[in-house]
Amino acid sequence: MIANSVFILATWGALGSIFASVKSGRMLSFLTLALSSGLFFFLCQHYFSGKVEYFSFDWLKYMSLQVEINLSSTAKNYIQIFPIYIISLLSMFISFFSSEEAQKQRFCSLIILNLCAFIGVICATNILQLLVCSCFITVLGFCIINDMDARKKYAFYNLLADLSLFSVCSLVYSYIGSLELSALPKFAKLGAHRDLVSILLVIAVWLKMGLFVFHNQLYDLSVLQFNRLTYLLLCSTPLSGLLILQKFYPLTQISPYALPLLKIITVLTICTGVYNALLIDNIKEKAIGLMQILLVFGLVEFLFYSTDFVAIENTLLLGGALFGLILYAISYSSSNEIYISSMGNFISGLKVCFLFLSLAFLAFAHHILISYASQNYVLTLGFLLLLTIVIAHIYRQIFFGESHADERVMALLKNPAWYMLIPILALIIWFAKKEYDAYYMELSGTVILFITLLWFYPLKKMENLYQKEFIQESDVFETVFDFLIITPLTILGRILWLLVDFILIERTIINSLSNATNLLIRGVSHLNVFSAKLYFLYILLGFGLMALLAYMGHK
Amino acid sequence: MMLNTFSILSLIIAIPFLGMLFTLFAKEASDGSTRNVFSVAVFSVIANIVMILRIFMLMEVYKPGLQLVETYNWMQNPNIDIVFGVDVLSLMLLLAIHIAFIIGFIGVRNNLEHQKSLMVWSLLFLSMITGFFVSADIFSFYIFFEGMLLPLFMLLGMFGDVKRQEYINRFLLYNMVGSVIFFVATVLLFNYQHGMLELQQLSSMKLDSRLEYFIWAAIFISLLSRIPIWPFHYWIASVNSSIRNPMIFLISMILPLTGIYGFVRFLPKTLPAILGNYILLLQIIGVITMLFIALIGLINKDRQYKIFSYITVYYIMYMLGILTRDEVILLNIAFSFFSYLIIVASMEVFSHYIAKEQMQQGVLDDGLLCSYPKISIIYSFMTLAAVGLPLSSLFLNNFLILSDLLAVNIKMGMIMLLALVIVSSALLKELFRLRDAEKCSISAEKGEDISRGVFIFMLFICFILLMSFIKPLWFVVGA
Repeated sequence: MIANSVFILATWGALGSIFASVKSGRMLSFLTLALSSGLFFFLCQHYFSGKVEYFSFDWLKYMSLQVEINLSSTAKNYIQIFPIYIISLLSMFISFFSSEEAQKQRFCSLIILNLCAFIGVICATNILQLLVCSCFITVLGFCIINDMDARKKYAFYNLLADLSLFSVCSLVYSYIGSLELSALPKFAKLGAHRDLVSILLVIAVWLKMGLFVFHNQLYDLSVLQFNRLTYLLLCSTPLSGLLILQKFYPLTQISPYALPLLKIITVLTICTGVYNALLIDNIKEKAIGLMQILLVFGLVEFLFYSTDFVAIENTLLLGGALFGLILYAISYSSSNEIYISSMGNFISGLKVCFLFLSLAFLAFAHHILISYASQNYVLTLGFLLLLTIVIAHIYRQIFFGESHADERVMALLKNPAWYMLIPILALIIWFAKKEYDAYYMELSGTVILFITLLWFYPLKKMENLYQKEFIQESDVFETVFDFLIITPLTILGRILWLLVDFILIERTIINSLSNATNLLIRGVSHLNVFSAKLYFLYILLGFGLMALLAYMGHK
Repeated sequence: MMLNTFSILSLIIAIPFLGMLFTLFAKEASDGSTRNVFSVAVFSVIANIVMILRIFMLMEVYKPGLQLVETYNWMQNPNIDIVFGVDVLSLMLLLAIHIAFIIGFIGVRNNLEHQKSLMVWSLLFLSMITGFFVSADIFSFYIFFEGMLLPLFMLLGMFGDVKRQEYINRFLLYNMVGSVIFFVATVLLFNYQHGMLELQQLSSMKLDSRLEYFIWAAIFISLLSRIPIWPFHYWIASVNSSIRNPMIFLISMILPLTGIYGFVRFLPKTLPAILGNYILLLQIIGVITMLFIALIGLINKDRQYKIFSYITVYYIMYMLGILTRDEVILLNIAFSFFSYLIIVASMEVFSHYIAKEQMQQGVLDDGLLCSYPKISIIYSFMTLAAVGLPLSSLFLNNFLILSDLLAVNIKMGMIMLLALVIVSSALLKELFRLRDAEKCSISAEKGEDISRGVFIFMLFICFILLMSFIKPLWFVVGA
């Protein structure tokens, strides 16, 4: 079933992206949405029927290399595919109705191609399928980002990540001679350069996920339209980084440095996410920070407590989609205002909206508590505390206090569009559907904390930081990269060019050869000057040579 | 006297040569249009592509060793046989070169100055290089190895810029040194063997130690003189970064391939002890050159130099792969080379087109691609394929080549990877500069984009590359 769906989606997506036109875009995007929804329905039906279908196709059959494409319909694959599929459908649904999306069909086609690539990653049982699909996700992400500036860091960081992953796979294959992911544990016994392999893998995940130090690639995406931004944050390279880590996990255990390094980075990334969600004025950057916190929380659960990756990934992806939609809805309601410092007191026009969005947060909090508190109580509570502070801080600045919005924005305040509210409502129902049988105290505490933070607004002083240009505009890490990597490479390149190419080869070797040839030519020219004395000298030399040869021959 | 009747390999050498003669006698239109000459030249190349595809059908592609061998006895005293033969590596390279030539011809189709000469010498070069790739004995190998220098020499003289004298001097200096040494080695081998020698026999020949030392040194130096490895890179760098004609760039870019291919044909499967030191030295110089050229490519603002640095890094990687003498790696190099040559040819042709438009419009080239949407699509595709994304056979086959090289020598492999990262970054940086809409100084209406026909042809080339990613020998039934 998965194989059939991928085939249909990939064909439709490829044709759709080739023949995308603005005129027929709306109709075609509707057809794309309808087709994808229909296939999703069949996939769900197949999943609930409990049937398992194994599908593998021989892609390459060389003497030295056999590669299969695996697209088996197993329960585990389905569970991992569903949230990505749901987010893809949500993004297509919103882009179809939203007037902000100019290239609807192209966007929808890229989404379903990206979905196919993710299905490839999830179903992969060999290194090559994983690597190829991961690279396709990079390329498709590049196409979905429709802003050249935002593409720059994305492209460079992901190029580095893909090449790191490429090196890891090459090294692993060269030692174990197998492409199967199930053979990875063998590398611990047969492989060499274990630290290198492990660290390269960490670098690949680090870059792809946009973890601390490389997080600025994600913040550069804030220029994109909200729907695209949310889709990219949840269903592009950050998620593929997580999936790669999950698939290659045995390789992180062969070096004593890899896991500690990754753990340190994840903690620092959560701090960065919190910092940006609290201190940055731009609502899209706040959304990025928030989604980073969610994705990295999954990583923390996985790395520190070995929690079942599949279940937590689903919750957090859908949670990310929910918060993305909430912030999108707020921006939409305020005539696409993106600066929090230009909002405030929106409750006067958006009472129902505020209640609805608060309910969304509480539904998510409820789901997190019920699902994970029994496994890691302290971590779950800590996470919830962090999330409550961030959400309450954002809601407080938007809905309460003194209004900083201009008159036009306040006059045009409107409730979010129905096509935003329906997905939010669906997600609220999904999160709230779990039975409410435990953790009453914790949930009540969360509600009280949320209300208290809204009421007392203890982080009020942070508002002043919205005016600090250093915090809002500067990209410290880019400056550091420039200083530590780009500038030394540039200087080295110039030195080599001037010293080796120009001075050594051009001015020394070639000029010397040229001068030597000139000298020879001049010498021969002098010898060939018409002169009786010279001729006499040559004749004498000739005789001398003959005499010498005769003498040597006689001897 | 011909010893067998099947002569399809001679035919693929003859077709471009005949095409050259037809082009030479083709009438130019009275209005100065060179369409007639262009059509004859393109037709010759297409005819040869058809023949090459036919050869693919006739041979067993995965069978090792030369196939469809043709032997001609040229002279009785001294006894000189001319032997031709092909394997999948030489055929893939030939096919890629022919496709690259068509792309190159498209790049110069509107050229009016010396168009006939350009086509004639290009076809002669194509004939020579085809002969080179099918030659299976040392004599014909030497003839074609040297024969292809003449067309390039003429083209450099005709189309070079104000500094052409300087480039020709460098070209002669480096190539003549290599030629003379190779000639001496050929004569010595001929005398030692008392007759002609097939390339396959060379590996099993027992030479005395002094002769062996000299022969291998001579062969290495002469082959290296064609490859942009330090310090031989200088003449190719000068030519590639200075000649503003895509066809000549293409020809000078293909020339190093002859050096690389020479290693495939000459190096024995089991390396003699004497070669161990040479190969180690070559590996060291190779990786240093890769890093060195990649860094210069990164800082150099000239797009031609960036493409040259990309070409160099890949050539050296292939050379280091060939030095491993692994049959499987050779096959992967063949598949990888196929895409590599087509990608580089396309990038060069469009880079030249952009440069020409930039000169005509009198603007900077920052953001220029925004006014040329068709070129932008093709150039972006080629750049993304060039940096190693899964859009051509470069991806999968480079994976296998690198996995082998990393296993051979991890330090060498890592430096190589670093060089690949640097050249890929340089190409990406250039792409972003060309597509920077904010800096674009001309409107889309002003820019004259490529014609619909050329665009469709280039989309077909992209399709070929994509198919080569899915299956490198997709066009061979049952492969």
